Amino acid sequence: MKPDFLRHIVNPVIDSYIKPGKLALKDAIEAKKLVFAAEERYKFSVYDGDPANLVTYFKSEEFKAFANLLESCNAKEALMEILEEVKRSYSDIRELVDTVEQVAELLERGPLKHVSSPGTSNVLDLNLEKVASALKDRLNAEVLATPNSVYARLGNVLELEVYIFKHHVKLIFKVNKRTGKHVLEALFGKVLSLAEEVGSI
Amino acid sequence: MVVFDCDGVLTYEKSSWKALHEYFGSKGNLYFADLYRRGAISYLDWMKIDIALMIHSHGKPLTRGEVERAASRIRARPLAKKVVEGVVKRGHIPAVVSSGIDLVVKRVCEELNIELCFYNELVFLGEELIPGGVVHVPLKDKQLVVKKLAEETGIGLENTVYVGDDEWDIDVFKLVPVSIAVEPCGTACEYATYVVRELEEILELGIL
Repeated sequence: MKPDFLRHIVNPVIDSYIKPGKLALKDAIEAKKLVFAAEERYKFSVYDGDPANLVTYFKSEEFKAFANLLESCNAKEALMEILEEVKRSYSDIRELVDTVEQVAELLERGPLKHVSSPGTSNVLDLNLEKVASALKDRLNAEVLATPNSVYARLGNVLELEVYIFKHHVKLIFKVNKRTGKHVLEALFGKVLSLAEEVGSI
Repeated sequence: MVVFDCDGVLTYEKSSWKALHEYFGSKGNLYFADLYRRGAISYLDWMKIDIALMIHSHGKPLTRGEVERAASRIRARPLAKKVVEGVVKRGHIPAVVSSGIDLVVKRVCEELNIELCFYNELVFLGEELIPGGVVHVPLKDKQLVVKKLAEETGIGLENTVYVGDDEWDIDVFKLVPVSIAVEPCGTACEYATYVVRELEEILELGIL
């Protein structure tokens, strides 16, 4: 059976850079998420798609965002390792092998150009309409929008208020304690990590 | 979120159903497993058959006390608590999605402080075990339960790791971005992102 691009190539290669400290866990997570999101769009999974679709993915903005993220984290080596593994694993897909070689050559010359990934941009591209739409689509939450805020409610467990001001954004989470200790601990852990990340910028 | 299978992962016993069969002197017939795999019978049908086989071998109705005694022989792995604590310490939410029975899985979840715990329920009429039960996690549809859990908690599949051990976990391994198989895992080993010999090794992979 052929290995799966995300599950058996990308994730293990990226993980192998975390342990020796060559890649920070948060960057690794971000990189993996980019590929996970791309899988849905480009259908390159060996299970419910076709690895030949990687040809299109490797030419996409999504791949450039992934590649540039790894490069910006000094993990270009991981990227090249992924490409080598793709060539080895899918050597029967000639077009894919050719594309991988072209991409590898471009990467040798420097970062891939024309990237505009929301995940890697430093410019805040957020407005209330987008927030309301994301809360509806991703959480299936009840959403109430006012001129300067969005209020969302997820059953009886979570209330979220988002205010966007000129110079800052304010988020208020209200989590029902009945949600459970683990959920609250994990949420608090994430808030702390986020605070550390913001504090270190 | 780290989702664990229970039988064979959090416990050494590969199947709580098999353990009950052994206790009551019956055999889980592979033929019925195959019928279920082929879609000829439902998971509830299979539960009814399994329990009927146990009652038949036992020669009399099974009481709650007897079933609890049989189930109590299945214990969590000695280091399972440490593993779950490690998972929580790293900021992840532990969960269990198992097609095992409540008398085992619920107890294991309680021992390990896992609140998100999904399993199948046995049904008693008074003190008497009745063929059948309440199905929450059909063996063939574990991936649907994991997907729903990831969506309903808002955690998302992209942030979900699954730990399993057998062929019934393969569809979950295909779904989540990172999966870990605990040996012995047969053909399922080929589908997992990582294979470990002991459960505690999942903390040493450096991915959590």
